[in-house]
Amino acid sequence: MRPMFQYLNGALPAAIEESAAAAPGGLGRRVFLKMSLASGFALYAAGGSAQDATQGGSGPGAPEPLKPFQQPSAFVAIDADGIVTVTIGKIDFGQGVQTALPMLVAEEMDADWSKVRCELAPAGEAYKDPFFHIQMVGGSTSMKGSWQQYREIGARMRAMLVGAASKQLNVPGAQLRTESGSVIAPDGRRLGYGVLAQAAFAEPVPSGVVLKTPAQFKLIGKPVSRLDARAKSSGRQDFGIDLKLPGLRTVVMVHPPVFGGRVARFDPAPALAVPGVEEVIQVPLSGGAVGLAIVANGFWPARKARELVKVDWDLAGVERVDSAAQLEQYRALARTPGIVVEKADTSALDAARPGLGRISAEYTFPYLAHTPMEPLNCSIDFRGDRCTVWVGSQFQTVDQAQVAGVLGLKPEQVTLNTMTAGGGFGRRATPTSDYLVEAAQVAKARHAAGKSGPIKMIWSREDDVRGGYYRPSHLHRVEIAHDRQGNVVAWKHVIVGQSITMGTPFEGFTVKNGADTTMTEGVAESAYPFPIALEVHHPKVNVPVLWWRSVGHTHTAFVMETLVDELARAGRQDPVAYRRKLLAKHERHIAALDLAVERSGYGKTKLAKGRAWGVAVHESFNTVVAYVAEVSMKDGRPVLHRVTAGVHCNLAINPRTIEAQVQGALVMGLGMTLPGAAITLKNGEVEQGNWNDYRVPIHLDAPQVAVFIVPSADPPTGMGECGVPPTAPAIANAVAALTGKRLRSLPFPA
Amino acid sequence: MISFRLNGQPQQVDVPGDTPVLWVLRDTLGMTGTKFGCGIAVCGACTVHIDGQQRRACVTPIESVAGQQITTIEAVGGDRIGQAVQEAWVKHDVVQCGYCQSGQIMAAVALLSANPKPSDADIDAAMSANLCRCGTYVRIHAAVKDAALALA
Amino acid sequence: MDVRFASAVSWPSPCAMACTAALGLLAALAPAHAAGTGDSSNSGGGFQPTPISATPDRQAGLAAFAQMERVLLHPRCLNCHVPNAPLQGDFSRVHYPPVQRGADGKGVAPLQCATCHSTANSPLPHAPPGLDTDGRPGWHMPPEHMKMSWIGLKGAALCKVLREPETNGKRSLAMLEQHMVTDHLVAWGWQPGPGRTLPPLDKTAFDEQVRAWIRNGAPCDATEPLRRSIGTMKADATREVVDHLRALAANNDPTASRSQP
Repeated sequence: MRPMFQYLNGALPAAIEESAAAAPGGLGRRVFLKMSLASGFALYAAGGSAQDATQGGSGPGAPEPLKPFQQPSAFVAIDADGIVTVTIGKIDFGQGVQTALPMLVAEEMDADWSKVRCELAPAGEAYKDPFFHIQMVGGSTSMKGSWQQYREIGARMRAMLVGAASKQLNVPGAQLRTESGSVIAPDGRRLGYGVLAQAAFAEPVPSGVVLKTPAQFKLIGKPVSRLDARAKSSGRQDFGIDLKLPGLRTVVMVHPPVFGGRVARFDPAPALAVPGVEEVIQVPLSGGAVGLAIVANGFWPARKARELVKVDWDLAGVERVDSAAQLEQYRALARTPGIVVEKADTSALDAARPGLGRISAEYTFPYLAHTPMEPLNCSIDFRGDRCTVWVGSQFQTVDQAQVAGVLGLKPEQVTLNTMTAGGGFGRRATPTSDYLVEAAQVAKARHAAGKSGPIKMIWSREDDVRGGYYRPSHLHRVEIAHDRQGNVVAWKHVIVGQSITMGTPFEGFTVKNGADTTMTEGVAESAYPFPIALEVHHPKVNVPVLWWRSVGHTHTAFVMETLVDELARAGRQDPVAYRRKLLAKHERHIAALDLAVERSGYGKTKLAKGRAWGVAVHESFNTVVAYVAEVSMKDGRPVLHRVTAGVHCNLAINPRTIEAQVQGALVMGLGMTLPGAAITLKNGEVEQGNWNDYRVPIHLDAPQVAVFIVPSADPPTGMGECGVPPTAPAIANAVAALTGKRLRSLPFPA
Repeated sequence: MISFRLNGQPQQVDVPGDTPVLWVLRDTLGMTGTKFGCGIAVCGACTVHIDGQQRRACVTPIESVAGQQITTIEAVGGDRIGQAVQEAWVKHDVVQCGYCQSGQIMAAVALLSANPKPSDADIDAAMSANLCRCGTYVRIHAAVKDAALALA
Repeated sequence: MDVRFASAVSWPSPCAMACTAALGLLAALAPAHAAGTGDSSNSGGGFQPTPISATPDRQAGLAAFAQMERVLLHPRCLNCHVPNAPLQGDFSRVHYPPVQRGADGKGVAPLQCATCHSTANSPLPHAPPGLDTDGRPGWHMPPEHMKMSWIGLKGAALCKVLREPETNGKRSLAMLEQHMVTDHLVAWGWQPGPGRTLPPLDKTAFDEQVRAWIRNGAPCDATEPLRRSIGTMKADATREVVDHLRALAANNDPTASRSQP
């Protein structure tokens, strides 16, 4: 049966096609978006440094005009009191970019940190990521991609402040110095940035700038507290869901129980009887589905009304996925030839060989829902010829284009305001802009009916848990032949799972010969020198899928690090020593692992009775994280007591943020192991609905965590996701040490 | 009309009696510090104090709190315990996205009000009904201990 | 951080200890449920206990109990008639979030039952059940010293736990009938809110079976002597004592829930 979500067929989401049809030169826009993304990714993948991206940047005598993303005026504002507001092109949904990015600017600017504030930029040309050419947050790339860009902004700003001061003090710029928000002359006269601001922004913007060396850093590298800590600790931080506007209506959706279902008939009368409910309208949803929107003067009447509205659904031609059946299908697929990703000699597996041991393993992983703490929401004020959107988006450019497409506007007619969001984990970076498209459809319908005024669409938690865009389910089949020392002689690996990026603008970069690298990452380019023969299958399934924090590594790291552990034990080698030998050429892996081992006491401290060590080291998104875990068993289930983390992220911009990200990602990785951490479907319907039956980690699950960072001055790599993958395998490895039992699936059995 | 006290001030609202306190706060009164996370009292983002007890506003009908005192995150810093908790939260940089933290703080204040010297197990038990998807539990734990010490 | 919740969690609070003492006294003198849960009949609702028949029929009584048992073992009742922390849902799973019974059955501060269980069921599926007791959140378990736990029991064993005052909150048959037929927390089992199954008998039928069991001598097995008396309704005599103790408890523990014991 044809899945209803068109992106699975390789076609772009309906909304972009609508946009293509609506806008002049229709196809051109779609192709341009796809091409620019592809070229952006290609540049990024080629290891293009920020120098390439800045194009007009720092070389001496570079004559090219600066691009919008290089202009200080788009990123820095200084008021008369010297308050420096840094506008960042990245959304902050907890990662801490609203502190770390201003740190980069403030460092080079020599701003007074106590006077620095941060705002999130709306969708705009200047805020497009210089590598990806769209405004986005994902792939743990914010700091890595902005490292050069934002420091240059700060340096340019400093030069302009010095230029202005030079004129006012009548001292050559080269004799002036800057410190903590002031320009200072040799004779001690000083001018604050607040006083200089207006003149500074009238100065010519220099293209070539000299940046500080790490030895000169005053702010970068220090454990700096979050700028938003106090507001978020007193209920004063507004999120998208908190938006207040005059005349705002709240919209609660009614979604089909099966992906792709359509409203056949509905009776709004019981819903309309709820005081506060204004109307119930039928609207197209993302991917060809059709649902209802309940419009009310507040969330509660609409939510209450949803329990009362009567709907008959048309599910004809819609694939009804069943998790149990899917597992059998995946098993069968894994036994057939797949798309070859890596070739290797697997003859040692063809027949039993004397002296060779064999590991045969099947690993399974369920769908996972992101469930960020703030329910998905989107507010729209559509005025016919223009529109304003307020949304916590990780994909501003894409979302802006898709909303414009639905409303028959050009993207530049859509003002998209980036709201601080309550968690994302990838859910707010959806190529189909699914929930925004819904909101836009509601706004469009109301406008067509002559109803004015902004709407705020809020998804309930049930909408979120049942709304798809899950980390796909996977099956791995691995056959390994090894010698008595645990050395790998042959390795045959098959992975089955839906492709996340096929049919999206990312496909050009991430899908090669029909194989999606977002599924094979962690196996395909593993640091271990194993001769892996890798094949994949990408079944098309009527369940929309998406990233989930650390994407392919969420499952590949579990497979790799548990197998490595098993091989070490088969060869009677210490799991750490075994890894060190194999990873000898990978300095960063060794450094991270050694640091975690040394600080944990592994091999030196005697553990309490009933406890065992579990080790895992994994690189994802260019950062290496090693965990040494201390685990015991209770009532047949592992208890995680303590984790020592060794992190190699090159230069550490803010150790506080890094520690927070590791602590949090570690807990999320632990969450994958907890019974109930799975989305399952029966007869097409998602069986879970809220956190009562979709398990996420709680306070008492969290272990003690100590985070240690390998010192480095190389350009920083990301911290958003890399702390997730090593948790589950570290625990599983300890369980194997304690019980001899190998865990081959997530979540662990109840 | 339903009358109650909100953060020390008299308040009156004209809404259906079954409207949860959460939506009276957020939609009727525009006080959005108390958050909506799940709607079925399993996440704790909506935690308020009613007559000194920790309660989940998403399932508490407004008519049931007539005449009672509601304290929300916006005012919890007004007493000794609330202030100590908030200072500890800032000192330890507890927050990440911050969406759960109003509820976490209200729960922490309720804990320290009932038990000024909580053990690690006490903190685990009391705080495990408040979800955090960013996983800030490690720092929440440290901040609660720190606040207890500061209050001692 | 690593201590599993299921193992003992101590809650050393002076207030809780005083409260326990006061309520222990209260419970020793007056069955908690009969006196205080807002049984509408206590305030003169006109409940008349069923007398034992002059010609009790043991088989009829046993058959009636067999029907009652189907309800008693249903999750709506069973989930709270357990030895430790309450169970939850149609599959009687471990209650989430992890909670404790507490001395008075109302949880342990700061996570009392009333934290999440309010004065009414929510219209949203799987929200915590709610119950109004004199305008306050009324959800609770039996208290620590009189757990009235019967999980794992059936037949004669279950029947005896239910019938005997040592295990049923010091209730005579008359008070036991009053509890099962008029108590609003019991009645909640038949109005549990969306997402929960109903007991296998409707409330009227259940009440009928309770009366039939008592009328026929409240038999639990084939041989023991049939009951000859339904005992007294002691509610009024003990009410003053109960009120006095409740006031004592409330004064000692300012954070105690003001809902009924």
